[in-house]
Amino acid sequence: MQLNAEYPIRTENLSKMYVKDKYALNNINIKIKKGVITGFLGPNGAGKTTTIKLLLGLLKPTSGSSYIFEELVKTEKAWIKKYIGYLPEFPKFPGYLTPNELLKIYGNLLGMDKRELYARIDELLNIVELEDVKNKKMKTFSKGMLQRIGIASALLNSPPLYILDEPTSGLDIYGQQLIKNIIKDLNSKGNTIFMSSHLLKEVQEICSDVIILNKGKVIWSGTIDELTHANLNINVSISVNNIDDAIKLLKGQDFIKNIEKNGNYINVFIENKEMVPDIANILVKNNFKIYEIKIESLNIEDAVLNILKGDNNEN
Amino acid sequence: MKIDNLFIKKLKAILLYDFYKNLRSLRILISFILVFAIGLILVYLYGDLFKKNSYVLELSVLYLGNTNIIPLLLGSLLTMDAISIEFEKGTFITLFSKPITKRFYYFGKLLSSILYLLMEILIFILTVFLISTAIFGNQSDVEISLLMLLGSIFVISFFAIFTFSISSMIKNSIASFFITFGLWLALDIGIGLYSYYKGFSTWMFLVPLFGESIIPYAIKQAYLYPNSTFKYYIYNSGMTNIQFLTLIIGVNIIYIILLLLAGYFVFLKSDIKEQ
Repeated sequence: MQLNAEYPIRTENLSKMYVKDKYALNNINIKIKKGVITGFLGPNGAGKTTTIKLLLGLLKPTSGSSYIFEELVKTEKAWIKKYIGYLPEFPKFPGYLTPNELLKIYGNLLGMDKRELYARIDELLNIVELEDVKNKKMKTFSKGMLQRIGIASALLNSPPLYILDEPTSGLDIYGQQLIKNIIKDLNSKGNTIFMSSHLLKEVQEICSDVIILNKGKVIWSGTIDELTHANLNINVSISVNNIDDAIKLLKGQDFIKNIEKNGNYINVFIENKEMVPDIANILVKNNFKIYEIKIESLNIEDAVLNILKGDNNEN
Repeated sequence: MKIDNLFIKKLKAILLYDFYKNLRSLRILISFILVFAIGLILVYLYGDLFKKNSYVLELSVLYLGNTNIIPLLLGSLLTMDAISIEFEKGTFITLFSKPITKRFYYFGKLLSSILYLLMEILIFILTVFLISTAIFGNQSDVEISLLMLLGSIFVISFFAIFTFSISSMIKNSIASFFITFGLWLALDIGIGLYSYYKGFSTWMFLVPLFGESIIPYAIKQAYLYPNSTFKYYIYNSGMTNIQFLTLIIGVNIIYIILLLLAGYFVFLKSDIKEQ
């Protein structure tokens, strides 16, 4: 176990088949940088949760291997999980237990000192704002409350690595903000966070790196900046007189990636905002009257969709 | 397996985890109350017949272990969901995200179930002991009842382990109970009919879920008359009481080991995923 490993999570040709000849995960190679929040994206059924379960040793790979702090993950090496704070998507806990009892049991499994454990439970229930219900049985808890208990459970022994599967799912806006702040705080302390999410804006807000999975394969990985620069366009909507002639004129320009008519507007796709004055100049020089120019940056959702569409078209 | 402070903490955790489940389960509570109530009614009805405290105890012990329906109610209903509940409710993911091996989980849950059973039996026997002492006064020969009690605990544990092993293989609580119940019923009826026409044979007492019920009685016979021939109604084993007891206990221990190993290896090889 190398807690200072450059990549706290690493996989080598990791594959999983649930059904014969049908890969849920096919030869994936990922490296998660230390001290970084990495977003794990992909459509439903892409293999995100399978990857996470393989990293935790909950599932056995069909082939390939995964490493946590350079330690080969195996089902029987349960001790590795002491270094991982895991939050599953829709965490479920025994309804007959109270949060206090549950966290004490988990603390004992983690080998925590009694005094340290009790103090930590109080602290965490305070952070996730559930101290009022710490002695109530969890069978009456809402999805959001269980998600918060899940966060408290993941943070219990302050591990250096966190694997979070859809950490804000089932939470209201306030709960989402609370969890995002906790994640940012964890990262500011040098911890590594690997999180899957459907909420791309959330990923854009808190992640530095991104891995995109589709149909069990990694189809893109890099930083958020790389993702936006490589895959995002600027959409300029222009209102002019004589739209059809203006489109003909602009179609001949090399720096314009695409152009289309959209009602009373022309949508022009370019790589960066600095090209907008050039478009305006061309139109003015050719005696067009410009009534309005709207500049719109396509967001991460468009970028990820572009990548997924590209991958689906290739297949 | 290294026994250190961490081991003790983990054991405590898994014992508590399961203990809370059993303690707060309505099914387990009802089955215990039922067994408890019927037991006390029996004591009330037949206790006066014997007029001796030790016989009342003995009757209670036989009630626990000699009927097979009680081991089914106490043992099988307790362990039917010991392993499978986590998979049925989806709570296994959060539990197994903590440093716990499948081996520790499996044997920890088993130990917890057996300890819970002992607690239930102890409560019942202590109650009977206190009531009967209050009514009939102090008696001798209590040690016979206590020895027979060990036999009854063995029988109840056998049913508990049987269902526990099935449950860990198929990870379905209801099916585990009904497999045990169905087998028990089929064997009881089948062997009952066979013995009606052909009489008892030694092999019948070696059939799992049927033969164990003789253990408390066999213990009493082996304790009182070790070298006499073991007889049960018209059945004559041709063995001494000690030999018969050793055979039946030995065979059942082998069954227990095989059942536990089968359950363990199937559980070990399976992925930790929803059912």
